[in-house]
This record gives sequence, C-alpha cells and structure tokens, in this order.
Amino acid sequence: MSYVSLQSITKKFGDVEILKGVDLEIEHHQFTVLLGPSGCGKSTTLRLVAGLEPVSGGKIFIDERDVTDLEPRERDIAMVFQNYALYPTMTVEQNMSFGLKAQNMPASDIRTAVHNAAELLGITPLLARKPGELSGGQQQRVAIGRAIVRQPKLFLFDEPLSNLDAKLRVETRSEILSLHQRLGATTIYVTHDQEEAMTMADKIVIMNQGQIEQQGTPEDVFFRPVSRMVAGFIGSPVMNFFNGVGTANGAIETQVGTFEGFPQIRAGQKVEVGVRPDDLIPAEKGETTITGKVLLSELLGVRAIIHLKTQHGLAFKAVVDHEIYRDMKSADEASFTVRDGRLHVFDSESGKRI
Amino acid sequence: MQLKHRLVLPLALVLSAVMLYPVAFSFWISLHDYRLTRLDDVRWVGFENYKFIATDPGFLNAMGNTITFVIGAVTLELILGLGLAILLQRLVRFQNFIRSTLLAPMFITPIAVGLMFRFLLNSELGVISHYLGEIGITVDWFGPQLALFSIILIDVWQWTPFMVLMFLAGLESLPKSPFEAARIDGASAWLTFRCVTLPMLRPVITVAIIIRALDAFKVFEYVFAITRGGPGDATETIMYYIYQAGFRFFRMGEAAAAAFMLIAVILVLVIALVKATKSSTAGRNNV
Ligand SMILES: Nc1ncnc2c1ncn2[C@@H]1O[C@H](COP(=O)(O)OP(=O)(O)OP(=O)(O)O)[C@@H](O)[C@H]1O
Ligand SMILES: [Mg+2]
Repeated sequence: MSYVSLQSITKKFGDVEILKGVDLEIEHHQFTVLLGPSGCGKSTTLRLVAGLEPVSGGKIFIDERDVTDLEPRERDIAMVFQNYALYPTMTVEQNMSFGLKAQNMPASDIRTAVHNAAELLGITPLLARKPGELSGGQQQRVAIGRAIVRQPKLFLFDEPLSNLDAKLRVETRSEILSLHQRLGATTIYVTHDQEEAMTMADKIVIMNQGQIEQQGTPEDVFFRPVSRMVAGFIGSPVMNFFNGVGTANGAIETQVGTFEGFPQIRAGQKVEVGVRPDDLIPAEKGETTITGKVLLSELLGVRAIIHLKTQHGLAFKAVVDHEIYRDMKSADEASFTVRDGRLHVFDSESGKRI
Repeated sequence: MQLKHRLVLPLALVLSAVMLYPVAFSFWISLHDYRLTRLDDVRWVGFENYKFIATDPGFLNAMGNTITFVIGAVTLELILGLGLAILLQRLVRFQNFIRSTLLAPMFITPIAVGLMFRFLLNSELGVISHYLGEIGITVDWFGPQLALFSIILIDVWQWTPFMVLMFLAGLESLPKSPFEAARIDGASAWLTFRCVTLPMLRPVITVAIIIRALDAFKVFEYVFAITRGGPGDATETIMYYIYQAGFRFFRMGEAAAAAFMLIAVILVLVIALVKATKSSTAGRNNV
C-alpha cells in the first residue's frame, strides 16, 4: 500500500455531495499537488486527510494505518493554513512550541527544536514577536516553522502562498520545495495556480467538481490531458480549441482546416481539437495551416503572444519567438501549422480525450 | 467661536446641567458640615468629613463588606458565566431559546429580586428553605455568617446571564482557524482553553469584569429589601452606608464625602483593569 491512501472518499455537507468518490495514492517522500478550480473540493479533501472533518464514506490510510476515525492529533500530520492560523496572542516562539508542548516534550528539547527550525527558516530574530507584528511573508514562514518542528509523517499545505506578492511567492515556492527535500517529507499541497502546480509537483492531481479528473506527473497532465477540462486548465496561455466533425476516412473537419490521421474517429462524431499556443509554429508553404488576422501582440521577453482571429471569427493565440514576433506584429495575417503530434482531440459530449 | 465648538455647545450645556453641576455641588457639600436638619448653619470644614469617614469603623466595615461582595460576586459570575458560555456554544439545538431565557433575570428590577429572595429564602415561609428542610438541611440564609454570602448568591443569580451572553458573543467572534490549528497541534481541550481561548477572550473578559464590578460596587437594593444592613452591620455596604448617613441621619456632608471615596476606589480599579487590557492587546492589531 502507498504511504497515504484515500479509498473512495465521499463527503457530504447536508444533502450536497461535495466529494464524489476520491481515490488517491501518495508515495513516501512524494510532493503531491491538488489542483483545480475554485470550489472543486481541494480544501475539503485536505481537511478530511487532516481529520478536521469526518468523512461521509470511504477510508483514509496513513503509513499503513487506518486513520479514518482518528482525531487530527492521532494522525501525526502538520498543516499550513491559507490564512496561517497562527495563535494571535502567542509569540512566534510560543506558536512554534505549542504542538511540542501538547506532546509533553521537555522544555529544553522544545527550545532546541524551535530554535533549529527558526534558524532553518531565517526567522530567529522574530521569535519574540507576536503574529500581528509580522508581515504576511513572515507569518507564512512561522506557519511553516510551526509545521516542521513537529516532524510529522505528512505535511499538508492549503494554498499557503496565495496571500503573498508575486515575487515572494516564487521565492517561497522554491524554499518549500527545498525544505521538503531536506526533511525527506511527504507533502500534499493544495493550489489553484497551475503554474505553481507544474513547477512544484512530483505528482499533480487535478480535481473537478468533487472528483479526480486526472493524476500523473506534470508532463503527463501537460502533454496528455485526459479531458477537455484538464487541457483547458493546465498551461498558460490557455489551449486553443476549435469545434470539428469526424469524417469517414479518419479526418476531422474544422473551420480552420482539416486534420488527418485519426482512425479512431467515427464519421459525424462531434469533437473539439485543442492545440497549445506554443505548439503553433509559423507555416511553410503547402502545409495545413491555421490562418488568422493579427489583432494584438504581447511581448513577454524572448517570446511573444500573438492574438489572432480566423476568417470565421474564431479567436486563438500563438506563442512565437521574438524574431518572428517582429515580422508578425506589423503583418496583417499570419499562418501557422501544428507541431507534429501536438494536436489534442476531445469528444464534445463526454469531454474525454480521443 | 468656531462652528464646531458651537455645535457641541447644546450638548455641553445639557451635560453640565445634569452631570457637572450635581457632581460639583456634592463635592462642595462634602467640604461642609451640611445637615438637612440645620440648613441655616452650613459651615466650611475642609477635609474634616473625609478624615472622619476614613477613620469611621462603620465606613471601613462597609467598605470591607462591599469589596468582599464585589470580589465574591464578580468572581463567581465570571467562572459560572465562562463555563456556561462554553457549554452553550457547543449546544446545537435550543441555543437561541436558552439565550432568551437567560435574559429573564436581568429584566427584573433589583429591588423586586431582593424581595423575591427575601421570601424564597425566609427560614419559616420560604420555598427554598422548606424543600431544603425536607432533605434535612436547615440553613439560616440571613444569619450573621451567611447573610453577605446570600446577597452575593442573589447577585450571581441575577447577573451571571449577563456574563454568559457577553462571553458567548465573544466566543463566537473569535476566529475559527486557531482552534483548528490547535486540533492539528494535538492540544487537549484544557490546553486549548488555557492557551488559545482564554488569551483571545481576554479583552471581552476585562470589559465584562469592569462593567459588573462597577455595578456591584453600588449594590443597594438587595440590602435595602432584605437585611437593611443587618444582622448587626454584617451586610452594610457603601451605598447603604451613604444612604443611612444622608437620608436617615441627614448628614449630607459625610454622605457626599463617602460617595467621593467610593468614586476614588472605583477609579483606581478601572484604571488598573484598563491598563491590564491595553498591555494584553498590544501587538495583535491586524490579526
Ligand atoms: N462547512 C461547509 N458547509 C457546507 N458547504 C461547504 C463547507 N465547506 C465547503 N463547502 C462547499 O464545498 C465545496 C468545496 O469547497 P472547498 O473549500 O473544498 O473548495 P476549494 O477547492 O478548496 O476551493 P478554493 O480554491 O476556492 O479554496 C464548495 O462548494 C463549498 O461551498
Ligand atoms: Mg480552498
């Protein structure tokens, strides 16, 4: 069995079923990211693992032990909350000591543990202050410090970076990762930021409406999204989608052109084809092309996003290199072709990958 | 005169008429030998009244009784109120019903409460004494040993609900997340209460104590309705002492001086308590 195992977990609040059967296996030392749109049940899942809420059905195992009906303290977990949830009346040192004090650890050991953790996070000068006297980033570190002093089996993070500014967020991201590696920890990390998920995760779990839509490595979910929802959720700028219909000879007809080589497709089947803006490359003559009027271009640095519109009025985006951008931004029209094997096809009805 | 000054003028006038003038006048009285029976012979005596009061065994006894009463009543109300509030917060059903029921004692005017308990606890006629007698307990509620304690209990009956409601509101306004953090940290219920709940509730507790203590210092009705300060002077409180001096013996100078002594004591107490809250809330402004 994996280190952490969720088996057909369901959760109801009143009559509303928020989680509809979640199965999840997490290996020891893995950094798992739960990703999904707002309200999909990420925090709820995390709170069930923590034991803050009882499950409505299913079982949770941590390190081979059935913890489904155990109190949080019997599960040996630590959690970093989105709003940090520091104890407002205690100093930073007391905040970090509290969990150890609850375990009746001797005071001198607590001191050593807390000071080591504070050193690791660079918050030693803050130990005597209260949370109200700290900046958001500092409070965030204290919250992490409080989690790591206890050396739990499992770390749970619920959107810990969402209150930080962009620069600090990127910095803290890598700090959390290096902490995770240094401590050899097992971590479940919730976010709705797909970029955060892609950069941090060993394993990404994408949730949608109380169910797991796809789980796998960042490469898996990026290059082989199992559904239209995942394809649209992962990647920035978002994937371009065009409606199309299957033909008898395994081709797909769309308003932007015909794509061939899909033997699984039935004639008349309604599909959506998706292509990432990065997978659109300037077309040579004679290829299947997607042509559009250049509306707008954004230079990001070495790369640029071109916003276009086809003659049928379908908007799409392409990401191009800086040199091409220079030619295109003044051009009236631009033609692209899809990089080999980078076309994603989804059934319109089920949303599933074909 | 600026407009803003003119705008506060009416209120300032009303306030000085109904507050400032009486206070100033009673301070003036306290510096005179002012007897209602000899209004033609009002003499300046400086701080003689204060000197007399400060050494009067009757006053010192009354002050002692009052302080015992305040400490006893407020402590009991605090402990009971906090305990009940915490129990009530966990109650899912009937909470609103109990809340409104709890208000009832506070609606009754204290003099009526006094009379009510005078009869309930009366050793010959009282319902409570009767049933206690049935199970073999005979208590002389208003005897020399218990009289002050009984008056404390009456105050507790009437004012514990106030504490409960204050603390319930306070508990409900506390952020939820520190309690979840405490559960994750594995703190026992008692540790959570002592280290998380109590410190966060401290400002509310201080305010509740101030309000109740200020009120308890002025206890008069129960004494007036039940014991008249007796037996002996066992339940004579400051307010009752002032009432006696002023309206039984017509010695207004002494009564006024005693009133100002009471104000001084209360002032010291309030300042001490407010200082205590300030220092405990410093540094948690944006949490
Ligand atoms: N205590 C509760 N009672 C009733 N409904 C709840 C409760 N907690 C959460 N929900 C509902 O459960 C759903 C999932 O909530 P959850 O907090 O897990 O979402 P989330 O994925 O963490 O979203 P976000 O990214 O916005 O934090 C929401 O529709 C929410 O309204
Ligand atoms: Mg959430």
